[in-house]
Amino acid sequence: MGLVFTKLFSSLFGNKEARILVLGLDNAGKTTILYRMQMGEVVSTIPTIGFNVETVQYNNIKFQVWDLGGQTSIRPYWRCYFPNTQAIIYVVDSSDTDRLVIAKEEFHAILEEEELKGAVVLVYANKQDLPGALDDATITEALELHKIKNRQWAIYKTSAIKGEGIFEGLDWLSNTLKAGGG
Amino acid sequence: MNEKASITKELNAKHTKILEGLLKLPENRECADCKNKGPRWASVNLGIFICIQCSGIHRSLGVHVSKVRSATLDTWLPEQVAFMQAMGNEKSNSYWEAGLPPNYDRIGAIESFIRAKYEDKRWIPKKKPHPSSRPGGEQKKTPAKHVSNGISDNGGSNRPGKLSLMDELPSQQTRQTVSAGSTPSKPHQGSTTKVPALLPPWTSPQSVEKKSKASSNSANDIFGLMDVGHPRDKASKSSSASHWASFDSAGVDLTERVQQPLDVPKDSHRRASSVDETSWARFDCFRCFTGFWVSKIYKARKIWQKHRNPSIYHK
Repeated sequence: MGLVFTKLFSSLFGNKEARILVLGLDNAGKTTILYRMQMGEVVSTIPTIGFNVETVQYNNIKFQVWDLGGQTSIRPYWRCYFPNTQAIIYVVDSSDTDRLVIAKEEFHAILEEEELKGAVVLVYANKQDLPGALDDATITEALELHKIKNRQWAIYKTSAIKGEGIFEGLDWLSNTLKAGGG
Repeated sequence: MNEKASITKELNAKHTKILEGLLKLPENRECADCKNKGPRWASVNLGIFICIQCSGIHRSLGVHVSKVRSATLDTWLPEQVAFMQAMGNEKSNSYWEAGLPPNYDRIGAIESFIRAKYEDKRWIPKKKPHPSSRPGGEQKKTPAKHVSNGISDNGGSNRPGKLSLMDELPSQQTRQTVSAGSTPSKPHQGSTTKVPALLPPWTSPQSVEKKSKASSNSANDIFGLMDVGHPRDKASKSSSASHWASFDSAGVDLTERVQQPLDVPKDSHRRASSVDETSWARFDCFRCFTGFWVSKIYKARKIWQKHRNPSIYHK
């Protein structure tokens, strides 16, 4: 009887789990975002070579968030983490205008992956606190987000340092996943 | 523009060779900021080689101050490599640390030191221009003239004028033998080699750092040389887990030992029941009583443990 109640309760009120990959070029702010989500504070980071993984409970969804290193030669290893992924969080350094083209190419290469066909995409236009950071509309243009077909996506202006925009993005993500996307 | 498409494998290999050569120069053998041995990271617009810890601080400054790349894990543009050849730690510090007091404690507060040095430009010379003639410069389209400038400015330094693959090989050989004797490995680096993609999912937040090994000639098998850079989180977690596990197993042992003497007479009292019924009945009563309380205490302790450290039950 208790088991029935537990099952009913969890199906009604969440306990949904989702596997999320945080991707993006090196120094986009992926690790800082991960720990901002998990602990709500700014940690000092060093370049991630390998990965970090944390569980983040938010809006009745248990997100298993994987933050993968972004250096050029370790990007090919991202694909090892693609299976069973419900969502991609793609982080862009909005102040690194020189590398937006590379960010775009990596982004569209990810979207072409068969294993990520069903994953929803959340883009963080990060580092809005820095001088010269481009806004979400400009990043949308630069990443050519409007070319995305058959997939739910959203972009949010974020500052992991100030803690802005990240949970708004997670709200969108949890609502989208609850509605059956991903 | 695209570093991936425009940089061929051959060019990348050439860049790797050049960067390896630069890292062997005496001035670049220690981090430009904290003086740690064996830097493997670089700020491509400042033209310096730095350690991974300082690279983390440089990254936090923003790309308008410092653009960090790995000398071993990133693909470089030709102009970035050329700028590193032209600049280097010595020349860069002669500008950024021109007014730095001799015995300044940089290690004590390395982050504020780096911020003061590059963000506040606290110690730059008043009159002398930046060696690259572009203070705080954008490295992006650094023309070849910087290279020639750098080399002619360099004077007596032992920096090779041009590092081609041919020039590179002999010096590399000698360097290997030298550094094999004085293995420059940081104390916090573990010795286990691991491929990050194969790390088990429970290995907790961590970053894996490329070991600064002299034998890493080929950029292709870098992953063979990976080791866990910051095992302290993992170590503390796993040690506490094993501590609890051993405590738990000790507890089980203990209760088994407690129960054993109570179980032993169980058989013997059946066999000997005809001898003295009352004494055994008394013993039975005692046994029930103690057995009941032992099991109660054991259960309570189990629940308490589970409450204290639930993780060991969810493995």
